[in-house]
Amino acid sequence: MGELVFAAAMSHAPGIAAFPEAASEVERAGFFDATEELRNGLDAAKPDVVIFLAPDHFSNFFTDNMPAFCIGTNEVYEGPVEEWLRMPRSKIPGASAFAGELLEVTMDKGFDPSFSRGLKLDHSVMVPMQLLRPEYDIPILWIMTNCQSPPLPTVRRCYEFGQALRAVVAKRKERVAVIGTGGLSHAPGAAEAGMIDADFDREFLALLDSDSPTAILDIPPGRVDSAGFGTWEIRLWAMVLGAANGQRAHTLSYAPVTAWETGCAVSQFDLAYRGA
Amino acid sequence: MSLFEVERFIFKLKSSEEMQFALGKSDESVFEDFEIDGEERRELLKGDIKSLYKKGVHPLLLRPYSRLSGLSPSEYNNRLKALKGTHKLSSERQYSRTGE
Repeated sequence: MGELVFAAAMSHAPGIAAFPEAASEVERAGFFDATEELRNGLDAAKPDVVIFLAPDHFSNFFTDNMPAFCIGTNEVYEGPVEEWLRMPRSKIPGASAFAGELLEVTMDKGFDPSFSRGLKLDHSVMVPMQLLRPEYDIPILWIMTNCQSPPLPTVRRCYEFGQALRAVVAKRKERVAVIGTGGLSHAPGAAEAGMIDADFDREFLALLDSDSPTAILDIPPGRVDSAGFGTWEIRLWAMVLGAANGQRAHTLSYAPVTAWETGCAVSQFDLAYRGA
Repeated sequence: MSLFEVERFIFKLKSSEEMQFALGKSDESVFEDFEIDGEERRELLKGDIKSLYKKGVHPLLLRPYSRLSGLSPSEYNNRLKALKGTHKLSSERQYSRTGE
């Protein structure tokens, strides 16, 4: 029986890779110390597959064909597509067999995801990947969730997708790590870019760290909107929560980093709490 | 005016060096495969991000377009500063209520 051996969520603001020096020393230390902790935890967990739950940013999809969920069935991934990210373009092996089974199971569970054998990685996967597994040696799978072009899948639906993912983990034999990426509050490219809603972010993380983390599924959409449209990416955090069977998280780091225009958070889910 | 066509143009522009070169030379043949009218053509050729933002171009497309038009991130933010609060994206359902 397969096992979920690691679950985490973190911000993926492009500034983290493209202009880290723009953040203050304290902000950098807080964020990168936390990602280093995740990196060590991921390494110790020895996963066979790393699943990224991450949005697209019009790198692959446009409104002429926008899936709610797209499962990457790539045999090999390549990225980043953004040349200005200050990262060399790299190839990463894909977990295509796992992806194939996930596609079939989620279809049978009524999710009707799309699939793609040719997803191109953007900063949503590459920023965390470079920090958590820069060796690029473990096969990955990208589950793309539409967080940029409404109508979006609900936060609750994303949680349910995470639960379906967990069922596939149990059905197969691999040791699996799940990493959600995105958020927290931000509005990239908008006139409001740089305005971070730290109150929202702290309340969100407090809920996730509490004994009732599924309370995040009931945050009114309007409240999320008011924190900036980039906050729609909390869907990926809800997906990790679903995969972790509703286990609470532990915030390793949070700071509203103005230079990166994002409320930047790093969390690990406590899989041992109450027995995941 | 077709917001869809303007956004489709930018989406294609992001991954096409040929289109980027043509736009950089203000070569109007770059618009050949798009239904983009005169006013939008002028805005896209001039890098008029204020007008494009007011017309509703998605910020995740507008920002990379501005980079390809030679605008620095700080200049981009400065130009849009006066438009704060004028165009906030919403995830609320337009036609139905969630759970109906």
